[in-house]
Amino acid sequence: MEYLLHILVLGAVYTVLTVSLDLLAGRTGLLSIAQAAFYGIGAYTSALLVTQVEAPFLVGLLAGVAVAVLISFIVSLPSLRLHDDYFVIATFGFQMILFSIFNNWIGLTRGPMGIPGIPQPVILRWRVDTHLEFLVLAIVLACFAYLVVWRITSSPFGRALHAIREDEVFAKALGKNTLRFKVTVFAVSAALAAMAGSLYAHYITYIDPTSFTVMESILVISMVIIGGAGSLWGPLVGAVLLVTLPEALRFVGLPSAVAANLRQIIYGSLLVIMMMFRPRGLVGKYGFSK
Amino acid sequence: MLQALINGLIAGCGYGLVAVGFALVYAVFRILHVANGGIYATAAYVVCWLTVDRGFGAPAAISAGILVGGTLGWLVETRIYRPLRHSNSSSLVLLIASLGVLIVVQNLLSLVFGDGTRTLRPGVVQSAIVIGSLHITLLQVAIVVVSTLLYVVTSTILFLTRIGCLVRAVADDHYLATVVGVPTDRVLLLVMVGASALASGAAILVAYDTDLTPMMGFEAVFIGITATVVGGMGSFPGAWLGGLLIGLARNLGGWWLPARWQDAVVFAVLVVFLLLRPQGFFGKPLKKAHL
Repeated sequence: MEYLLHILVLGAVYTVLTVSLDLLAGRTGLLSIAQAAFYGIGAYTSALLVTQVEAPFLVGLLAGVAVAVLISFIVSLPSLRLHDDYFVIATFGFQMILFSIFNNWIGLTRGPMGIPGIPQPVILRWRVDTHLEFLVLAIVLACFAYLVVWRITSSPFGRALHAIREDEVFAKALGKNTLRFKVTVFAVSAALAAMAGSLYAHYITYIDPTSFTVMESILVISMVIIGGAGSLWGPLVGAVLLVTLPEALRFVGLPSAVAANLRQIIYGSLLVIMMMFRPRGLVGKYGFSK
Repeated sequence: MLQALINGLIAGCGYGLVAVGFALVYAVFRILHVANGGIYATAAYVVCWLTVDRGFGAPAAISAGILVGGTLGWLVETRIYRPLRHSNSSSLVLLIASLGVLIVVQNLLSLVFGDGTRTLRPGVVQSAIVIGSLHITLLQVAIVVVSTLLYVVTSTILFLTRIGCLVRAVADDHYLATVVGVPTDRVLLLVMVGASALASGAAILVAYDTDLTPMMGFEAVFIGITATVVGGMGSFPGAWLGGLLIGLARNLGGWWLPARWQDAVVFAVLVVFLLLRPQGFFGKPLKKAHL
């Protein structure tokens, strides 16, 4: 039972991440490889504040979101002037630099040793310390992420994003300041990813840089693509499927090293297969094909 | 200082070759062929397995490595890229599929050969040429010679032969080339196999100089992409120079900064170029209208 709840909590954390990436990749057509970096920024900011100055959980979470938004401007203002492949490359570069900071700025992040002993969150009087309570918190945050994305996409702002995805030059010709739209949506996406990071840090109670590598970004991309980019349920389906599927491997009784590789092989082959036969994902409508 | 400069140049020769293969595919296919990293790592592992575990001689093993790399490139082009191209998929779809291939290959390698570091070097101590305070091993000389030779041969084929002319025609415009009777699919297949063979050659050189890990394919992709951006996307000599520059940046960066920041230096170079000069040294300026 505890195990099942653990899987569900992870599923909810990844749903927040996939929803945040889907806002960028699915809704606006900007494939970013830097999502794990913002996830990490949220986790580290929150963990450091809570362990070093004993800030409450919500302060840590909001600070993580604030830092992620600030850094998102540093990343997005220059990167968003670039297009397609160049944008992908730029976000990839930032992902690698931020990972390098997590891993090497030992004075701040303790590098590969990680930050242990992150306390479980206390919200007002509510101490979240069982798996079930964590699941409730995680689902609340996932619903919040969904609400944000739904609110954005069903507004005129969201229609402008849609226009940018389909034909940016056309959107510009209609007088839309597309750069401003993209910078804003990038910041919202970074904020949601940071929220997921903060939740993850407090749930696992220990973080180290290996959770925020470029492979993690690629995993989130896989989830979005396999579930279906730009659709309502796609991110949820992708996150739940890719979190639970590898857990099934555990019951086959493979050694953990083999299972880890096998999991990646499954992700990789799914990516290729989806691109070949169903680029719009399991439940998606939009397939990156213009 | 001088030693770091020389080491940087030597490492850069290996990277340059990686970048040339990458730039070749980008120029002709207009896709980021990250699967090339998987082909790169496979070739190195084939050579390592044949020489260290099976006791074959180096020449046989190296030919086998290049052959396996070329075959993989052939498979990726005919089984994945070609069908996707024919269904008019966007470059992002191809990039994601390519990424999938890289992930699968890299994990297969670590499943079969283990996650650990493996080495190809015959002994610990190597004969070196000593000039004053400089140490250059014979292996490093071989790397510079082979890498330069491969670069010159590839450029000659590309710019001076009929086949090279067809390749450049396809690179300019797939449709136009098809219309005037160039067998586009066959030319693309040739380029892919050639680029895979180049990547395999580069991998084997680098593997002899440093060591092998399953992650080496990813590293090759980082370096290939960065060098291509620095040199100018699609520019052939640019990619080569970009590789040299990265080799220098890594080694000279290691002179001032602790070694663990080496990769960050490479990506800082990448980001600076993307921001200030996205067309690189030799690329054509990015078209504003094509936004």
